Amino acid sequence: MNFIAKILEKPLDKLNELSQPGQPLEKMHRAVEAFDTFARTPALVTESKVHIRDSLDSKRLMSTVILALIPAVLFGMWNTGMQTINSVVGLDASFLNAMFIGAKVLIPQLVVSYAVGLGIEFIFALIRNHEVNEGFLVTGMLIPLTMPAEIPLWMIGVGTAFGVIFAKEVFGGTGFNFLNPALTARAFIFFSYPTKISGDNVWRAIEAHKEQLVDGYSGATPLAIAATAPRGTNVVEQLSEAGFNFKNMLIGTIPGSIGETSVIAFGIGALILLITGVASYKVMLSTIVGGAFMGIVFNLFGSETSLAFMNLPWYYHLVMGGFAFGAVFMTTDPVSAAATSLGKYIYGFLIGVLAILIRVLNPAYPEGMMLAILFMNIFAPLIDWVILQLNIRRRLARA
Amino acid sequence: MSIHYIKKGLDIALDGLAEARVETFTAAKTIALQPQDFPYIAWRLAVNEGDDVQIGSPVLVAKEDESLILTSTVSGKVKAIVRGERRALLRVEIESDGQNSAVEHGALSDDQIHGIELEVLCAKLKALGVWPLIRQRPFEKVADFNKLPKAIFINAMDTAPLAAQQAVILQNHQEFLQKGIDILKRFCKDIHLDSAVKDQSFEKYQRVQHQKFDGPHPAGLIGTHIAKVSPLNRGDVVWYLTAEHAALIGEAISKGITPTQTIVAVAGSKALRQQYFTITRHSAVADFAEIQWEDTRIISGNVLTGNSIGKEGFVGFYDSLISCIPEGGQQHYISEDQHWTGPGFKSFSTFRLFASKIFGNKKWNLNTSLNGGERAIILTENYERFVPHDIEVGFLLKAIIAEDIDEMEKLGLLELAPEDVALCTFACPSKVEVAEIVRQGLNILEKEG
Repeated sequence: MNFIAKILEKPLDKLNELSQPGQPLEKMHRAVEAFDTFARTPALVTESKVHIRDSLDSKRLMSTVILALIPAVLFGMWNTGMQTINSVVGLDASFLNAMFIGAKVLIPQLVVSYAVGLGIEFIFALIRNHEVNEGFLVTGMLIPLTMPAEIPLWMIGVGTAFGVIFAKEVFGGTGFNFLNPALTARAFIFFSYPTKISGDNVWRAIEAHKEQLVDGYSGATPLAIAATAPRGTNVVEQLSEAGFNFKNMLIGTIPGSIGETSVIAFGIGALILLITGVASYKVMLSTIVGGAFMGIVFNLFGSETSLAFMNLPWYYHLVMGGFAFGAVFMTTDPVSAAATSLGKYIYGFLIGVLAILIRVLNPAYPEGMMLAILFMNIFAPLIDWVILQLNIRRRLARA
Repeated sequence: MSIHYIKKGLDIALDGLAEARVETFTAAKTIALQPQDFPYIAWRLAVNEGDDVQIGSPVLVAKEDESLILTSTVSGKVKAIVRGERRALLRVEIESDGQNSAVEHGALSDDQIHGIELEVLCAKLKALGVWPLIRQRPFEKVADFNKLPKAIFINAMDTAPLAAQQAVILQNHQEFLQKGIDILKRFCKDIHLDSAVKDQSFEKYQRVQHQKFDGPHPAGLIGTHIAKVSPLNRGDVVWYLTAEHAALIGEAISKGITPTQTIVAVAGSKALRQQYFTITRHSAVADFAEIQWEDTRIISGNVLTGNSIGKEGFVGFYDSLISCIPEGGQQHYISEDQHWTGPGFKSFSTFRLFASKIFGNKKWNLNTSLNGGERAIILTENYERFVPHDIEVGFLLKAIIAEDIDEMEKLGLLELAPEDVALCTFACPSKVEVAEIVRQGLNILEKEG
């Protein structure tokens, strides 16, 4: 027994004892259990006829997703800092300072998101007397990563509460929700407080340095520039005039939601998710194929007189906005995605198509990814239903 | 001969596989017949405590079918009638007197086997107590003579962890397997003998269709064989039994007495002698096996489908394996290898999430720890990795939990038995009891008729 076990064993045993029926902490039983099983694995043994079990539990499963998000978190922190440094005169441009500025933005957001979300999760677990689910550990990290740097913290709190309660808990909690809770939280903020989550002035943390902005400062994101490029102009040139090219959009040194800019960082996350088999390659791959397909269709139909956005080379779409982030971390949420094998391909493909369709053709929503995923979340059960009917028909045809 | 390659599934290489060495234990002390081996059948006692019985004497009689009986495999005295909660009958224990006096039913010659009326043949098998060895799908229940099957499957392979090899088990009554096949052929012309691709010892048997299977577990399960060879459609019935049990039927008819001998494997890291034993059928485990009894789960059957029987347990009616694995429940603290944050050098998993995937052992000494807590189902397409049937297991479970009878049947529940989805239970990170849910679903369908 190592020293950590020696330190923890007695207090944990005592806490467990106090939360047994008839003891003072009885009502807190599920909360105690959550802490206990965090610190040490449960003493449970198999009781059914399947006497041995795989070592994987939901805690490790969820932690893997969090691990996959770490590159996006770290890059997001640095990039948030760098965006501020580049927009303001006279700031120290060192790596450490950038991380420091970024951390000052992101960490309070994470704290609010986790405090509100886990608080609700615990309350529901205590009321309903079920285990505290680990699902929110992922949701709580996804929410700040999809937010602009300048979002007021209370909005994150309200959005998180909305997402967790109305997208998840009212349906029975983790595993029973049909919408992605993190995206629901974002959609709630998007429609309730549109000025704080869209437009040109929210993406960089510059509120404190308003007087020292560099000359010619513009906070516009590549998507906003592409969407507003006048007919007949070359959209790639317009982007590069604003300082955006394929390379920096791929690396992610551009303004945007905190964790959504670096395709390289998501690539690392995607590798972790795919190698471990935690996320479905079917969904991820078909989303990217769907997006590329729609981009190519626009390229084919685009002409000099059409929307300039239609002529944007298709591969630019894949590195702009929230597309890559959504494809890796949002579409692959197994609970809200289609569950059948073929269904996953259809689900992902349609998300990719819809995201680019909304992005290019709907001027009110410069980013279509969030809405495309939520829309397909709603249709996922229908896709699965069709696949199940095919399965049933095969069974009947065999007879 | 057809060869079927199974791709889906998982072989779990457990420590302590039985060596192919057979030791004879002729003098059984106690045997027991246990109603738990026969779901869907209510039994009434044919004996009282202290009664004298012979080999072949009826001990239990099915309430719904008086001709269906379970017979003693020793001569001696009824030692105890053990009841559990609400007086449910757990088992009837019989102590051997070592005399081996048997009830004679008269042997049948080959000509008689072919000429005798089917009803008479069935009655004979029932009287000898070997009829219950034949089971049927759907539902894994004892075969019903009133509805003859579309096919009979004789299984001569097993791919479960630590499984006993049919070729070893069969060595005492090999000569009776052909006879058993011929007897079964009277009930159905379509007989399949399923064996592993690597095992040629069963190819000499005649008047059967040879089906060869290769691949990971559940390639050796009868449910897989039926799905690949002759899938169950609405209203279909298929009978099945192991090759050894077919041989026991042949032996019973040839000799006219209830067969008493069988071979079982004792395996697992907690078994002191990991080998095969010739024993009296239904013997007490303690009479022949040498096991490190402390902190051990003793299972009649394999670790994915067997019953935990404890020190005083008996070999189950259909089982030819006693698995002995360590009890779990050890708590691993944060910073330890097997904590959920640890690297997991010692953690066996089907997921590529542990260091053991790279540096792992070839053989595993798994214990009975649940390795986590119960949660809602999160991952999708996880269960389908282990089920070769064309069935959407995740959706089937939802239909069962919702008690949607129509939907569960449409989604193919009748093609499954709990053992077919045992690996899904094993590999579920949410620790959902998939096999138990399937069992509940089948119970609902059975009750509905």
